[in-house]
Amino acid sequence: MWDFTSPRKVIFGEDALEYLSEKQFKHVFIVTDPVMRKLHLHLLEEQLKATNAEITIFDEIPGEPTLQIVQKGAKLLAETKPDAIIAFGGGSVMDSAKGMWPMWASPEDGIDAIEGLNPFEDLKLREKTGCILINIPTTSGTGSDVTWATVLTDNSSETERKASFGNRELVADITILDPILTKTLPRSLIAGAGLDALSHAVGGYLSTWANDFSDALLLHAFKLLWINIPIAYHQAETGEVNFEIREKLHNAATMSGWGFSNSQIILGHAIGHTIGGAFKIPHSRCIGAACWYSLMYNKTSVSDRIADLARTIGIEGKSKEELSVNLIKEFKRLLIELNLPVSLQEMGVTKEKYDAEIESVIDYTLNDSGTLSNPRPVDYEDYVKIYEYFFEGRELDF
Amino acid sequence: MVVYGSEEWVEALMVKINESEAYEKAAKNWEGDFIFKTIPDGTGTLTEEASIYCDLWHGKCREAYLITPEKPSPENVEYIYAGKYGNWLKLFDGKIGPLKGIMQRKFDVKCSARSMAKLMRALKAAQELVKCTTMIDDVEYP
Repeated sequence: MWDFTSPRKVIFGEDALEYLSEKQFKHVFIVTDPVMRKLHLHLLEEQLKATNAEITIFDEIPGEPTLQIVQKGAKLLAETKPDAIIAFGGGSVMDSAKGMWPMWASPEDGIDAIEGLNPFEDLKLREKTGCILINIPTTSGTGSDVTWATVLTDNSSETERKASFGNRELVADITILDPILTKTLPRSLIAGAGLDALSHAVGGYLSTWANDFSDALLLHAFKLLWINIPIAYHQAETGEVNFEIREKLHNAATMSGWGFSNSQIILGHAIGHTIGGAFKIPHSRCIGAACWYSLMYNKTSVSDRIADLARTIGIEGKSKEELSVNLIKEFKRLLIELNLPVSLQEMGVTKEKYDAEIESVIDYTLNDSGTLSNPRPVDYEDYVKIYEYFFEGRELDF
Repeated sequence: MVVYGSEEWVEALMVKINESEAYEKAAKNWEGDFIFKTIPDGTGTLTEEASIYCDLWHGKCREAYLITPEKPSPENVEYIYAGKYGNWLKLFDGKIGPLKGIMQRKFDVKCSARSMAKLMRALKAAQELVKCTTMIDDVEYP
């Protein structure tokens, strides 16, 4: 038996935000960050004004949200008792909102309410809180608007780590995809967030948990992202915003999240989660290279699946092996075209820092769920070698 | 020849866990005890539930035995990991993993929220523990 979990509604396209004005909420709790509050929150407030809903705004979400900030938001939720939580921002904001909700529903568990989430426990979030979750992503990357996992930073030990927690009740009731919100995205974020989504498509498609339903979403998402990321990136160099392209990216990021959330991620994200926490590298900056390493490491095990991805974007090759090799070459070329780093050194990790952290980094990577669902088995020694190569940006030869 | 679920099998498992360098490395910080429960489901000839107590501590197995009326488990065991016999066989064959087994409802884990958090940080150790079961020589599965 397997599940494929989806939000109840996906509202997308131009003017999608207007959907909010059609809803009748009593009290809306908006989770956001200071930048989004300044840039785009007025667009939401205009729509909510029509509903006469009371609004509480929690705008303290940092780029890498911690369990502690999520707990603070949960306390405010308990005080205000809204009937709708709107997560308005990027992955950090949406993951934070997903973390706050179970903490609010089970205040007696504190941080354990999220840290100890049992994937199949009946949380009864909606019944206990009388509230729904609406996600409105403002970047095109994380797919967090439709996933049932939340990635939060645990800084309770010496080596900070990103830990993922999940339960299918965390899937939003409604996700709203309005491309207008991506208008101000800097090109570095178009590239970085885009590569995050692309990595979801790759990981979800290569995962040992992949299934017919996730395959359908992920292959098309991969194609849309591969074609449109460089276009949007280069347009942004000149300040041009083509909303048709932005809409494709926005939709594809959600499709990618939808797909991988119902299959799994693999080694690339296991590495990305870990180095992001340990070396303080933004996820959008490290995930592209980590994905490239996952393709290299897995090419001997799932060349047929990697070849599917290659064919989807028109890469040619006489065999599945040749297609895999060609996609890996093209992936590196894309990273360079988008000015993204391909090594830990390029990400600013010094040899001293690397040597000091690598043992715990490998330990955390091994215990990330992405390692378990990686198609080619990976052990401690494998990660030692992968990280050695990754530090310098060398291509894997094993 | 040792029969799966027998006292001899449990003793052999304890030996394999304590011999495994991979498990020792993956579970070096682990502290926690388990009851592994096998529920008969018509697969093979297993007719009675078999429960094993296993105390795992920093990469080693400190104690393991077959739970019987004469030798019950200690009170307050941290984890109970239970599944049908047919699903245990799939786990030993590598057809399902310890986490995927939970996700597919083939196995049920009973523990506190805090313990679940701890388990989710020890996925590699769980995988290595399963590998230890496959290293026991000459097992007869009833």
